[in-house]
Amino acid sequence: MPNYRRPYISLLKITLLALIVSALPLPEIVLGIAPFWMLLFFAYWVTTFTSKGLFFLALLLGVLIDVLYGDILGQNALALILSSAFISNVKQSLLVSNITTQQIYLFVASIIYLAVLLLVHGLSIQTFSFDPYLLFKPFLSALLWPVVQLLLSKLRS
Amino acid sequence: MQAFLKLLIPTLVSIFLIFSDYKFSYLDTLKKSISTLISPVYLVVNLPSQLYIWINEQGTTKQILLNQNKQLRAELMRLKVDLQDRNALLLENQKLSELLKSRYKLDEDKFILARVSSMSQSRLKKQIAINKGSNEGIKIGQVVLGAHGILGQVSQVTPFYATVLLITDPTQHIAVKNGRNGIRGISKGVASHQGKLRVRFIQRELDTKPGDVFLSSAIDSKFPVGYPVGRVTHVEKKANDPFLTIELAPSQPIEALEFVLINNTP
Repeated sequence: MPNYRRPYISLLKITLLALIVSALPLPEIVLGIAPFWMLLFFAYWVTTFTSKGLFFLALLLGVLIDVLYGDILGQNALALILSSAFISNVKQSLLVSNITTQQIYLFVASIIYLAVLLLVHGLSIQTFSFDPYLLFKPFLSALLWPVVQLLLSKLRS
Repeated sequence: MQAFLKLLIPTLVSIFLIFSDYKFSYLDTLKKSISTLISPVYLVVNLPSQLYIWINEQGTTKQILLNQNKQLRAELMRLKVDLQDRNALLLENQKLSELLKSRYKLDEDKFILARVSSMSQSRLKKQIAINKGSNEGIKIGQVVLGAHGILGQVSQVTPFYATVLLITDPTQHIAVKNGRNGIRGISKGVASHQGKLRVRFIQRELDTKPGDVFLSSAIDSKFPVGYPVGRVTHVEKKANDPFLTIELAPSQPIEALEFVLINNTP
């Protein structure tokens, strides 16, 4: 039976799993297009459990990813907060939608995430350049959403 | 209104973090504590590769070890010969410096050997993780070298591992000079998948051509002087730009990189 009563234990499991998957040593070509794992995992948690304290949790998880990747502190946190705000807004619709619509929602959330990362990165190096290859990241995030959903539902039950 | 505040406060906190981390260094302690907290993640992730190395080492036969030993002895002999040439050049340099009344100092660098644990080469970030941390004396800011040149700088340290920001990262700047004619510039990583560097601030009338090697320069005190940084692959004179556009391929490629040296000079 799914464990709906202990959201924070589920969050702990999801966080650990997301950190491990994010730190996996992969070939360069795969790393360049790897999905936003923490966003996918956190989106699952947001859609499954209560959204109490949601944005502060997004801040904490984003900071963990910042430290893991050695990025500027707050960069992934801001991206995760804004993406979670979008997911939280469309949560009711997302819950009753078919899988393709859910993937479109996840694609939009990933685009928000990518836009924030690019903006902060551009400001930090004072150069703005867009590589279309980066669009694979949100595309792959959306594509892998059903797999993440299935995996995490197995983990929760 | 309350819902808006719930979003606004964490957003402002994250913007504050970005600004503080970019401009100042007083969040370093917090970062260090968090990275120590999550360092077991790297241990878990690297477990399969460590296991593979261990099994590989256990399975090495005596004959393979003997062959390796023979090869290493030959390599040692060759390096000793090279060292004699270098010593002769140093002596000559010392004499010339005395003649010119300039100050000459030999660097007595100490190095720590570390194994590369993982690589993170995306378009936005270029770094590697090594298997030595603060327990072995690694500190933030130490310079990391490969066999063929400068690799980068330690950017994050935990007790068990450290992260090295590569010179090809877009946030890394190094003062460099052309090994052929001493022309100086600043190298910077390029945000692309090719792992290249770009040298800036070299005037368009100055002589630089493909094949030239750029070395670390004495102007930048954080990197040791005279180590290869990269080889020129492309030079372009753009219209309305007073400076040349110079692209370098790093001297130390990171593909198949297994060991690195960390400069432990205090």
